[in-house]
Parts: sequence; structure tokens; C-alpha cells
Amino acid sequence: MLKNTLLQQAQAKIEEGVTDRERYDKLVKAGTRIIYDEATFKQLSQGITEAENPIEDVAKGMAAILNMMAHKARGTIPHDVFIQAGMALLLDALDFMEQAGLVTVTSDVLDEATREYIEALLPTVGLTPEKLGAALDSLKETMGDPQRMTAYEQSRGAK
Amino acid sequence: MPIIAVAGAFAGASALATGTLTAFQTIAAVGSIVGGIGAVTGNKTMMKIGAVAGLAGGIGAFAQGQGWIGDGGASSAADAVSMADDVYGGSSLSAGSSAMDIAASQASAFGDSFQPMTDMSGGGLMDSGPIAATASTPATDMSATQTANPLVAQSPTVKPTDVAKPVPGKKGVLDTLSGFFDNKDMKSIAANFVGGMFDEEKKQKAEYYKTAADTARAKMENGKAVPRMDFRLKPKEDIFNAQSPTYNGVRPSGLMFAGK
Repeated sequence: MLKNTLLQQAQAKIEEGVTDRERYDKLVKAGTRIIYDEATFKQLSQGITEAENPIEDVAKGMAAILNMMAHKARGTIPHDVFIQAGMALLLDALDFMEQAGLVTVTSDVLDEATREYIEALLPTVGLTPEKLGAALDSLKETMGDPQRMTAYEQSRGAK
Repeated sequence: MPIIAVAGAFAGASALATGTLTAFQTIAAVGSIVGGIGAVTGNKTMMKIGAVAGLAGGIGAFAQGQGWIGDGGASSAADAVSMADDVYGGSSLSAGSSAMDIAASQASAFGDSFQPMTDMSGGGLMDSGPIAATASTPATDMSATQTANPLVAQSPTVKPTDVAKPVPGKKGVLDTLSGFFDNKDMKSIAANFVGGMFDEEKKQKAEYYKTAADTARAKMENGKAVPRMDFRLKPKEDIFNAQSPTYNGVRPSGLMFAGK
């Protein structure tokens, strides 16, 4: 249970979008065990206390731990569940850091942590800025075609 | 290469190779996270990026489903491995290797206890294996003694936070997403299809016109409506005594003023 109210709100917001609750819970539980494992925890906490920017480091650390789990799951868990579970772990870690007196979690801190986490995580699943740019470019034709966009709008309305 | 980065390279390769989620679905998931956090913190830039990612992800996934575009990103294991190599700057991960080949070649980095997973179900994530098996007592303070976790304990100089640093000055993924709709053409397209979500003035105009159009449509429907000329009379039971011998049934002309 998170103690910081801002983090609680963020957690609730993240969980609103969770569609595969079973896998999400499983990943969060597994991730928590890894983070609070003695060896991992010592290295994480040491890295964070010595870091110039602990927010950046904890966010990247979460992305790295998520990668370990992704490797272990061997691609059987969709990326969206991983991304959501990783964010939940990051919120947990930020809450812990605040309790330990390492940071004061404000809106700016949460924004920065989220950005760092996404920036660290996406390239590891293949979405480098270049690949992302190429993917977005491929949308231009579709978005410039009124008929296609109307079909998209209709598909959204049908849901 | 830091140990965590090696793990990251494996994850990138194996996760993409299965194709469990397309690039666009991942973009949509990122949009949900970034937009959600932006909504909580009140950060408009993040809300915008979240909305852009959600929209792009949604349209992209739909377009893929329709066969209008390709997979929007890496779709092969080789491509994924190549990208993981780019990300971590490793030279040992060749584009032609499979994820398992890489795992085998790099296994020594994890020590003797590293065993490539053979269970493809992913069901054992919590139950056993090198990570969970060593996850014993949760640490309660910063001075907890280090135990043998094969994934993190092999090199004292490597920390879980040792991940690839972005190149300074290089655009990140969020910048790329944000920049996508800063393009004038895209802004205009988005304005037309999503009610001007990136332009306040256009958004207000769109809402005004939508309301005006709704009102006009309602008036038109009213105007088109043809009044029903048939009478549907439901006289109160106590007005007419239908049992009366003088009762001859309902006479519409007479009923017009029956209530007065």
C-alpha cells in the first residue's frame, strides 16, 4: 500500500487501464520480490544513494528489472502488461525512496520518473526513436485519407 | 556490457520475436501510462504526449488490421536482436542469431547457475528459477548483506541501474511522439478527426459547431415530423358509461370537447 497520495492516485490511474489483471498482479508480485531481494535491493539502494540523479536511476533500474522478467517470461506476456506492471513497480520504488528520506515525491518528480522509465524501456522492446519515427511516418498516409479515418472513427464508435 | 544490459538484450529479442504485441499496441500502452500520469500531475505536455500516443497507437493498430500498413516496426527476431545490439552497444549480438543462441553465448555472464528457460508457458515466473529462487528475505535496511543472486551478484562493479545511457542531444521516444503532431499537416489532420484536440481554439470551434449542428438537426427532425391525424382516444372510465343503453360508442367529433 503506497503512502504518498500522489502515488496512490497515479497507481489508481494506471490500474484503470489494466485489462489483464491476473498477469499484471503476477508481474507486480514477481517484480516486488526481485526489488526487495537482499542482493538486488542492496545494489539498487547503493546505486540510488550514490547517484547524481536518483530519480533517473530508479526509473532505469525498474526498466532493467522489467527486462529480466521479460526474458524469463519468454515473450508470453504482452508488452502493455509489462509496461503497466513496470510503472506500478516504479511507483512502489518511489514511495519507498520517500519513506527512506531519499526524495520527496512531487508532481515534477513523478513526471520525470515516468519519462525516464519510458525512455529506458521502449528501446529495449525495439521502439527506438528511429523505429518509432518510422512507425509514425507510416501512419501519415492513413491519417491523410478521409475515408480511412472515417472508417477508424466508425470502428471506435462501434466499440 | 553491464549484466543488466545483457538481460535487457535478451528481453528485447525474445519479447519482440514472439510478436505478442505490435509496435502500435505498445505505443498505445505507453500513451495510456504517460497520459494517465500527466492527468494526475497536471502536466499538459505529458497529457498531450499520452493523447498523441494513444491516438497514433489506435490508428496504427486499426490500419494494420485493415492491411493498410505493415507492422510499424520490427517484426523479426533478427531485427529485434539488431536493435538490442544498437541499444546496448554490444558487438556480440549478431543480427542473424536467434534469441537462444545469444542466451547460450552470453550465459557465462550470469554464472554457472544461469539456465536458459525451457518452459515457454511463462507460468513459472513466480515459482522458481534464478531470480525467484534467491529472493529470500526482503531487505529491511540499506546495509543488508549481499547474497548470491546470479543475475546481479557476478560483478561488484555492475549495478541494476547500469543501463544504456541515451546519447546526449539525441531525440528520445517521447520527443519523437510529441514532435509527430507538431508537424502542421498532422495537426490539421488530427484537428479534423479528433475535434481539434491539440488546438484549443479549434477544439472550441469544433464543440460549438457540433452543438449547433445537433440543435439544427433536432429542429429539422421536428419540422419533418408529420402529425398523426388518427385519434387515439383513451377516455377516462368515468366519463362515459359504456354499459349505458344509450351509449353508442366513441364519437370523435363529440369527444374533442369532452374534457371541457
